[in-house]
Amino acid sequence: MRSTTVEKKPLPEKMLTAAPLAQSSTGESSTVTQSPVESWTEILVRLPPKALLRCRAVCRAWRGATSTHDFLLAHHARQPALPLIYAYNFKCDGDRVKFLDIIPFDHRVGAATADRLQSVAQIDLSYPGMEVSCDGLLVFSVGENRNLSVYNPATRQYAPLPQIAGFMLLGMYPHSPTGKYRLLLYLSDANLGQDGSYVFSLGSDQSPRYKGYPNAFELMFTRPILFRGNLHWQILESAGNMLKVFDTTAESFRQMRAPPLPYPAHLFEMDGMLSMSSFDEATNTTIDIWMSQDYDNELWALKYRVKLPVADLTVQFGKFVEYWNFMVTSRDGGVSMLVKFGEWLLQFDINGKLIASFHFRGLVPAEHCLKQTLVQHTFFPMLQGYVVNNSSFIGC
Amino acid sequence: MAATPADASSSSSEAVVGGEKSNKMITLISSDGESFEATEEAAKMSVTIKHMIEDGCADDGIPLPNVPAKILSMVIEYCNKHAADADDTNKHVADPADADEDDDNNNNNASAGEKEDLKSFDASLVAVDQATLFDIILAANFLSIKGLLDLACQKVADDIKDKSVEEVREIFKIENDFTKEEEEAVRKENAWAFNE
Repeated sequence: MRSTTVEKKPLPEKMLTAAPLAQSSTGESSTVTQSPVESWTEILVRLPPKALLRCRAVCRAWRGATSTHDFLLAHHARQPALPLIYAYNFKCDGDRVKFLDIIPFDHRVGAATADRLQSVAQIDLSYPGMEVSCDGLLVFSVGENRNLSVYNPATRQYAPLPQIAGFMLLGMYPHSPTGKYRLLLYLSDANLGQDGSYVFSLGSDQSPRYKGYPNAFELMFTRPILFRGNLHWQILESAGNMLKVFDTTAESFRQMRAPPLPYPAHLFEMDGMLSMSSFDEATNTTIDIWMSQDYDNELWALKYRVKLPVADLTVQFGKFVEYWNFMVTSRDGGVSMLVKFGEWLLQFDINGKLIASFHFRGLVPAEHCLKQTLVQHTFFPMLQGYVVNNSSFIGC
Repeated sequence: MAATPADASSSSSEAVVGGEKSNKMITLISSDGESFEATEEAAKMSVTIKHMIEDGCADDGIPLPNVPAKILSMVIEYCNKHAADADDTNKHVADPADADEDDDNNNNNASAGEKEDLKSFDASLVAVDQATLFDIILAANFLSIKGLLDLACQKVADDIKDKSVEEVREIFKIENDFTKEEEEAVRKENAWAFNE
């Protein structure tokens, strides 16, 4: 047997080394105990957030390896952007909503229902408000006074945001020039300032800054999607089908062409492209999915038409009234649609075949996604009233 | 093409078929002296091997002292399967505007079947014990086969994600080197992750 030594390739910098375990002699099959710890970082980065937090308690090396900023960024980058579903919970004495479960929907059919509908937060929704989400952060309003707060479900860090009391949420984005998370807000309260849009930096003690656009209330009815550094909303525009676009670097508004879809349509990202989807207006039985093949030139193409046997589904599951109340989710090249029929949330594949069903009266597709993060954001500890919750329930 | 252990003494430097580069066979030699043959195309899924071929070091066969035969044969199986799949990615996808209404939903199906086939192949490849999984990880890391490294690491992660701290230590024979206070502190930091 030749004894040519083959140079072992240098490990990528992001792999951390820790105390090595006993090495096996060259040529023997190594066992688990003799594996270099560098490989473990590659394994740990693939764990879901909760399991990762648990694995920190295995040994010092694992705790160290999973706590660095670089590791957590890499971990966050791997997290799927799971579409959120709301589960409105009803009081047993009637219809009034008691609290809202926020559930990132696991796309994969075949995983247990309990796994697919794991709540990450319960919000006291005696007075339902609005929510925005960005990366792994949620900002929402709670309570009678519509107090706004920021929350990270993966770390359960929570902080109130009193500086923006009275404002309404339009969107949230990472502002790349400063590296801060910012909120796009709308104000319609003469006591607090001019009508229009404002931006506010999380962790900042500066008041929200006015950005003009007095008619910004038109953005309040649909959730935006962040794509290529821009926030997009569909708007009703007499001139034709348009999207309002907010450039998060320049922090300015413009418009772009949209495909001919009825309002409100669903905006999402699929295969790296901005996409829009809606039921056809005429029959409400076919889901049209358009993709922006050429984003810079604002050119769209009809990519899929998915026909659903609406009449049969109505008989089986219940009334299909909210033809706008559905969402399209795309992951690993697989596309699914979630549509509400009666008290059911149904999942269809791209061929219109029913692949899963969830019976829960209050399940409603939300319009944004959650990409969980364990990264320690610098703004949290700076906010007065900052806590790390032990439970996932957020009351007022 | 399955990997076949060849006679250790046979030469492998001749191209099997003249002309087409992709039909050239490469010999890979495991740490325990067994020789395996793979097409150049499959072998090049390993960036390490690809560089060696391009540097002209592969003519007499490539010795891999870090990879035992059992693992090498699995690695070659993976490379064969995925190299063949990479070939087929240039598929004709029907233009939805051309198709009539009845065909629409079926056209969406283009390569779903192949994807499923590859997925189940991958799943059965890594349905092995932890020790073998780790050997695959080491080999994939050493040979720079990103897809296989990803697959094997994800499998280990999936295997341990619902396990308790004690179970994880047991599986990997890891010693708990925390002091009592340190361990308490870590568990307290995110208590809900341990209790729920």
